[in-house]
Amino acid sequence: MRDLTIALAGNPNVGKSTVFNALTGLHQHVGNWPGKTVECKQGQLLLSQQRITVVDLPGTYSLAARSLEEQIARDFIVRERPDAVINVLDAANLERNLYLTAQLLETGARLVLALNMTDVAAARGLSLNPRALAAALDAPVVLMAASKGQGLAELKAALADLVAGRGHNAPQRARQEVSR
Amino acid sequence: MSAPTLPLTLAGEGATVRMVAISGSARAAHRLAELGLTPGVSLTVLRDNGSSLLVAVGDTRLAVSYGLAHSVLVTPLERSAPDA
Repeated sequence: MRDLTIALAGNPNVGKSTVFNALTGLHQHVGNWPGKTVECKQGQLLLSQQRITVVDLPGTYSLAARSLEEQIARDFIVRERPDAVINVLDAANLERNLYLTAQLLETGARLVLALNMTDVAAARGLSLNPRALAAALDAPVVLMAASKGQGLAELKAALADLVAGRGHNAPQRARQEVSR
Repeated sequence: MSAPTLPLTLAGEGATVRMVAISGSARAAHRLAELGLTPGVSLTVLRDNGSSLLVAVGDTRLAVSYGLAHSVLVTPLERSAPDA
């Protein structure tokens, strides 16, 4: 079975690394992209006998490649074409986070939206409608409070669905088989 | 009713304002939108060092240069209580 690659993308300070550590169990090594000073962490996740490399991209507000972080995130998503991208969003500041989501959708990447920090959102009286968001964006939406370990099982289930080709936006996209 | 509109650079430290428009280039407007600065959002000026601003938008703090901040037009909402 081919190893899969999944990237974590999102604005700075939305909990990408918390989700990353939760997925990989903190067994991470730091990988330096050639010629870059900003680092991407990567780790391994075993999901129903499928080995998955999880890459924690630098936090960015856009993929416009105006800063080094944005360039690294954009290059990875566009050139390396990970099998899926987990877009981690701050549920308490959803509107500003969706700008990047729109750009990620435009790249054609298969997205899983992880609405993180739902505990903070709930404490502020915000109520979330993940089904409406999933329907509008045609991507699976998972509610999480990664710092408390909530939603991790749901995220893994969504990833397993996507990997198995049962995800929302999987069927209509031609699967690129990369042979190295 | 017409609330006064002023550039963000003139809002002053501690001011909470609502963004009403961007007067700069499309490029500047695009970048500001990426950072979450769109008309309608409220923001607070945390620091003003005379050449750049530290601005709180939601839970995010952004450093914005005077050049960019000058194109952000805002209307004052309230002044936070001065530190005791």
